[in-house]
This record gives sequence, structure tokens and C-alpha cells, in this order.
Amino acid sequence: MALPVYVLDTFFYASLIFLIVAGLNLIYGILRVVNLAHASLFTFGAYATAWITTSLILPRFGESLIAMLVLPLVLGVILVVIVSLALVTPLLRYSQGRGDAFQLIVTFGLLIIFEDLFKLIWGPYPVSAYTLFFQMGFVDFGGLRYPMYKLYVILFTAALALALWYATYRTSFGLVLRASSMDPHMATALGLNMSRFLVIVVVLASALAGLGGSLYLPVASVQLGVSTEFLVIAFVGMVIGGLGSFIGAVLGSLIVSGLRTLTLIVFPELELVVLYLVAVIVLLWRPEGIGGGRGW
Amino acid sequence: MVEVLLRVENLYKHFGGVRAVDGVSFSLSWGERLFIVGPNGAGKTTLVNLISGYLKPDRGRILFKGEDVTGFGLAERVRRGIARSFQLVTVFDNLTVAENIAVSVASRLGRNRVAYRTLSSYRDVVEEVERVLEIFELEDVAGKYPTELSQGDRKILDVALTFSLKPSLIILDEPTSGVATRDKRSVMERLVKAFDVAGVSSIVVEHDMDIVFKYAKRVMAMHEGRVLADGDPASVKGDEEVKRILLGGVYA
Amino acid sequence: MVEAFRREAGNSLAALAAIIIVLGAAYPILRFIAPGYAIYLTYGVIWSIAALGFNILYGYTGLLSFGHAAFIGIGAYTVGLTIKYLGLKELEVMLLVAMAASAILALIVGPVVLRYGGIFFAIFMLAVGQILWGFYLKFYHVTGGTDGIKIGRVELLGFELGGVGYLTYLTAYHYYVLAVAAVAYITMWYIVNSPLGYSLKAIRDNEVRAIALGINTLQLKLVAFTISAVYTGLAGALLAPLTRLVSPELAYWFVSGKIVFMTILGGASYLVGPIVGAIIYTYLESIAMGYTIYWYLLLGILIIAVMILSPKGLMYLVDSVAARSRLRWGAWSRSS
Repeated sequence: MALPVYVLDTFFYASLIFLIVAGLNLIYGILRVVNLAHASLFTFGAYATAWITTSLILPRFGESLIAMLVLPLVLGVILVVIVSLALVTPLLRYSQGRGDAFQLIVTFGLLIIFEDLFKLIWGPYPVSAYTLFFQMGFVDFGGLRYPMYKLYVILFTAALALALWYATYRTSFGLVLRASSMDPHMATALGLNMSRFLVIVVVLASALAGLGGSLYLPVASVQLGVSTEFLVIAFVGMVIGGLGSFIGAVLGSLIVSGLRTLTLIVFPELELVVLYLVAVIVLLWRPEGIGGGRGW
Repeated sequence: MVEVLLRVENLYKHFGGVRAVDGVSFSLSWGERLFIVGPNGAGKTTLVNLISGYLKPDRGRILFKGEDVTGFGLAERVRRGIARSFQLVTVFDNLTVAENIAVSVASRLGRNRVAYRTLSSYRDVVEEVERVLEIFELEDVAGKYPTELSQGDRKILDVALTFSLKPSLIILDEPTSGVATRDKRSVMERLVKAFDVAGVSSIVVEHDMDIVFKYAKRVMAMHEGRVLADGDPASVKGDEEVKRILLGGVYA
Repeated sequence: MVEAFRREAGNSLAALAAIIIVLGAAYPILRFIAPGYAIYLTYGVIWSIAALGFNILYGYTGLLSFGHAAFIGIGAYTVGLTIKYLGLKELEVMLLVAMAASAILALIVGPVVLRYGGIFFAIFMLAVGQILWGFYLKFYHVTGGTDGIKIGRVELLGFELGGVGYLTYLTAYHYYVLAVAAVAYITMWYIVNSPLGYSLKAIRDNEVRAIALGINTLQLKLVAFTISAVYTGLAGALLAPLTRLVSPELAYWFVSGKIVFMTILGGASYLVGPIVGAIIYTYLESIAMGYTIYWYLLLGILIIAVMILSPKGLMYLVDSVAARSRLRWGAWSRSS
């Protein structure tokens, strides 16, 4: 109906997917490890943020916008990183070099552990904290209303993507990242401490995913099954955009979100089918994905 | 039946500024065995790649069984009877030696889509596997897995797999490389014997000069993409240029 | 040398026969000493058919699919839909239709998906499974959505069993399933020891070399994929009358993961591995679910533990013990 709204929604969704795919690409591109449980960190970020918002922030700071914007995000990400260091990193480290099948199966195990942990801690019912969303109100333009919060997320993520781009292409750390993604031995050859490097990459990827979840929470409720929903879409985005590439993460997220929005308007039941078909077409045309083949 | 199996006419292949193959011509008769020697970078592997179809020549023709196969791709050439094995041994590690060969034989006999009969119930397959094992002297290790074999036996198994396809021409790229020096002779011995028994024509790229001069009836020496000498071992050995370039120095 | 071929094949055949007998004899015994657990034997047998189908693709061809729940769903919904809309009662017909439907899906999806291996293949299959799951969920006018389709009693071999007691029906169903399984097991034995079976193992070990030997690998992979689909679809169809409810959960990708785990638990490089794994897993799950609602937490830990400590599965442990104690059971081939 209203084109600008659909376009903005696409960018909003793309922002969330980007935060997941960027991490997936980092881990796969540099560590050559596939992690099915990555989206679980997204979900954990959402759950953690909900809990932090309702139990810590609201009681203490009332409805202070600054507090609502900054604290849940920061604390949420910190929690995600802790969990990642405790559970995810050791497993990924062990999985390096053990083959696709091993990684897929082991990270599947991790994913279902997470699902039950969510159930254990927060119960099987949806958890939500819409406060921030409503607090930020709506923006009117050209006869349309659009949630300010979503605009904020889009801009925030765009800024973050820019920062990531800068870090990747203009800093020495980024150089190491890119070199390692093209040749994993490069890092060691450059005299880098491999395990510390690995940890940094996983932490960065996890933080991004957790951030995504944290940003997602105010517009929706989080429950069991969110991990799968985002996992499948993120993977399709990764395939379309290209494994292990920064540009790929951006392009893939945008394309996947655009397709999804289109399909949801026209024929909602076929959402996954269309995404899957496009992924297949892209693979047939360019096996490394649209942006891929060039490393991070 | 055409007398000449393979005729290579004026082959050229350049990579950028490098003249890998620089005007090579020769023919090979049915049942003949040709050894190609030369230092590293002489163009031996490139020549072999051109003949087997992994590369297309910039100029020149390749005639196989009277047919111009220059434009044909890999699969086409395999279908016409040109087979090749590689320096790196590629066999099926989780199948026994006998099973390895059985897969190749079954493929040649067009049986590998059959799912309702056991492989061992096919008399013709079993008999042929036994024959191949015998020809290559692999009977003793028939029940072993490739990882349990000596490097020499592994190489021979690799060649046996290619051999089971019953190609008219087998191309071997340094079959004794990676094999312990003391075993090199027996490996080459077994391969040569197998080819003679089956009457298969072969082109063997080989570095070890002792082996070459012991087993070759025809040798072609290459250097910088060109043929220096082509003939029986004695005359090639006696050739002035060959002596200077290949035998005077260190052969890698 | 033929004996070398025959000996190993013969051993796995003997093992299959032994398993079938045990599964038949154990049922009445269980019924007697622990009646509540008898039904899980039947479930175990059904899942063993699914796992066997999964493994022709994974253990023998080297392709890991994270979407086999798709075929379970097809099998189960075939039963549900033919009962609901066609008033069908004969299980045999439903089984045949389920197998055909699975084959059709395999032939549609296969040529595309089989061009890729490794992660791509696994995730693509996951996506296929989720697509079907989504259909079962969203087309609720047809499928009943989350409520699913209720299944009453079905006719076994033409016998209408509406009048008999529930336990008797279950017993009859167990032996019916066992008979189907026996046929499935023996067929798989033939497939695995056939030229196709060996060619698949070759493809698994070194696809490039197989192609160089003139093997049409895409075609053979498609054959394996279709066989795999048919087996798993059959299992899905056999499940429906036992669960008495066909719902989208059967097609959720966690089910795919369970099938993967069962196979690995038993041992993917052994013909009987998936069977052993499926039965043991089914009992593990049902016992654990009686004690806790956090089964997935336990399962996840179990999966990781098995992959790290014993990735070759239980049959491998059995194999090693047998070899060590010099009990000449005959040579368990790596791949039989």
C-alpha cells in the first residue's frame, strides 16, 4: 500500500539480519567454522534485554530515554559476550578443522541447549518489553506514520556498518582480518597469536548478534523458535551475499529482506520458498554469492 | 585399424611469457611405450595435460586413432580412450584394494547403477577384478585398505584403477615419485609388465634416469618446451645436447 | 577374493536377521515386564527405517542432510490427508502413496540441491524441511494447522481392527511394522552391497576420482537421495497411526537433527548402526522425558559429548571390543 513504509521496513529487517550475517560471515570467513547456534545469541540478546529492561531499568530510571536506549543495549551485549565466551567459543575452537558434518552437528546440539536454557530461565511463553518502542513515538511524513524506533535502528545499524567497514578496510586489524579470511595461515605467518585472534573474532561476531537481538526486542516478543526463524533467513542471506565477506553480509541482508517484504505482501505462505529459490538461482549463477569470493 | 595411435603435430602452449610447450611433434604407435624426460620446467607435465585434455593448445593438432581430438574436452577424450593418472595418489581410502578396482570395473561395464544385486554376484566383474589384481601383483593386499599399503602399492593401485577402464592410452605423470628409492624399480617393473600383458600404449613422464634407461625402449628428452631427442635410450643418451643439458648437470 | 566380499556382507546380513528376531521376541517380553515401554520398541523400529534411509545418503554417499524431517512430514501427512479427504483405510495403500510422494519430492529437489555438498547441502535441506513445515502450519484449512489431523485405526492387511482391544491393536501394529522393517532392512542390505552401493562409497571418498572413472555422480547421488527419501517417507507414514495425530511438529527441523543423531549414535559407517542408534535413542528420549521437560538440554549435551568422545558410534565400540577380545565374529568391514 504505502511504498515508503515497505522500503523502510525492509531496511529495518535488513539491519537485524545484517547483524547476524556479519557475525556468521566473520566466523565462517576467518575461522572456517559453521555455527548453527549463532542466531541463538541473537535470541539471547533479546531475552537478556527484555529482562534487563523490565527488572533493572524501568524500576530504577523510570522512563528516562537515555537510560532506555543505552543501558539495555550495553548490558545485553555484555551478557551475550560472557555467554559466548563461556559456551560458544570453546566449542567453535574445538570444531576448527574437524569438518562440516562435525561442526553442523555439534552446533546443532548447542542450539537446542540454548533453546532449553531459554525455556529454563524465561519460560516457554513470549517475553516482551515494548516500552522503548512506544516511548519514541511516531514520525509523520507525507501523510504516513512511521515508528521513530525503527528509524533509529536503521540509522544505528548503518552507522555501525560504516564503522565496521572502516575497521575492516582502514585499520591494521581489519587488514589482518581480511588476510586471514583469504588464507587462514596468514594470521600465524604474520606472527599473530591465533587463539587470541579467534577469541576476538568470535566475541565481535557474538556482540553483533546480541546487539541485533537487543534492537529487535522492542518491536516484537521473543520466544522459542525465534532462533530458527532468523537462522534460516540469515543463512539464505549469507548464501546470496556470499560466504565470509563483509560486502556479502550487507548485500545479502538487503536482498533477503527486500525479497521477504515483497513476498509477504503478495503471497505470505511462500516466504521461504521464494528466498530458497533465489538462493538457488544465485548459487547457480555465481557460486560464491553476489559479493563473495574475495574474503572478508 | 590405424597404425598410429597418437599423433601430436606442432603443439604450442604459452603461459604469459613462458613457452611451456614450444612446437612439439611426435607419434605413438599402438602398444608402444614412450618415456618423457627432462628437467623441471621442461614442459613435460604441460604436454601431458594437453594430450589428456586438461589444457587446450594455443596452436597445433592432436590426432587420436585418426580423429582430431584437439577441440575435445576431458570427458570426451576419456570416452575415446585417453586416460591419465596423477602424481598425487587418489584412490578410495575406505574401500579395500579389491573393492577399489571393482568400482572401476563395474563402471566400465556400465553396472554401477544396479542396486538390486550384490556386486559379488557379477561373475564378470569378479573375474576381471581378479585378473587386474594378478596383473599388478596386488593379490596379497587385495583385502587391505589403501592406507595400510606401502607407497609403491598405493601408486600401483591408482594406476590399476585407471587401467581397469581399458583405455587405449594411459598417461602416467611421475609414477615413482614419492616412492622409496629401493622400491622404485619394482613399481616400474610391475607397471611395465602390466602394460605389456594388456597391450596398452603408454606415455610415462619420469625423472629418475636410471629407471628410464632400464625400462624404456623409446625416450623423448625435452627442454624448455622443445624436444631435444627422440629415440632408443642409447642414441638419446649419446646425443650431445642431451648430454650437456640433462646428464651433465644435476637431474632433479 | 570373492570370499572377502561375501564374508563381510554375510556378517551384516546375519546381524540384521538377529536384530529382527530380537525386536520380535522382545516385544511380548517387554509387554510382560514393563508394559508402558513396549510401544517405544515400535517407535524405535519406525525411526530405524528413517535413520537407515538417512544413512544411505550420509554414511554411504557422504551427504549430510539437515532436512529429512521433510520426508517424515510427507509420509505422515499423506496418511492424514488420505484418511481425512479420501476416506482411505488400508495402510498398505497409504504407505505406497507416501513413498511415491517422497520420491517425487526427492526428484524435484534433488537435481538442484545435489550439485552442492557439505554445508550448502545440509542447510538447503534444512530450508526445504522448513518450507514444508511452514506449509503444514499455514495451510490450516487443509492440514488443520497446529491442531493437526487425528488418525483413528487403520486396516492392516485388510483386517479391520476396530473391535479389538487397544493393546491387541498395538501388538498387531508392532509386528506389522516389524515385517515392513524387515523388508526395508534386507533391501538396504542389497543396496549397500550392490554396485550402486560401492559406487556411492567411492563418491563419498573421492568424488573427483569417481568422475574420472566414468561414474555419473550426479545421477547416482540422485538415486541415493530418492532411496533415502522413500525410506524416511515410509517411516513418517508408519508413525501416524501410532502417534494418532499428524501435526507440523513432525516436520520441524529438530526432528531432522534427531535422525542425524540417532545415526551417529549407532555408527554411520555400519549397516546396522542406524538401527541400533534409533532404538536406543527412542528409549533414551522416552525415559528422559518422563523425568524432565528439559530434554533438549540433555540431548544437546549428549550430542556434543558423543561427537567429541565417540563420533564413530556404538557399533564402533562393539567392533573394537570384539576385535580386542579376539572374538572372531568375522570381519566387520568399515563400510558394511
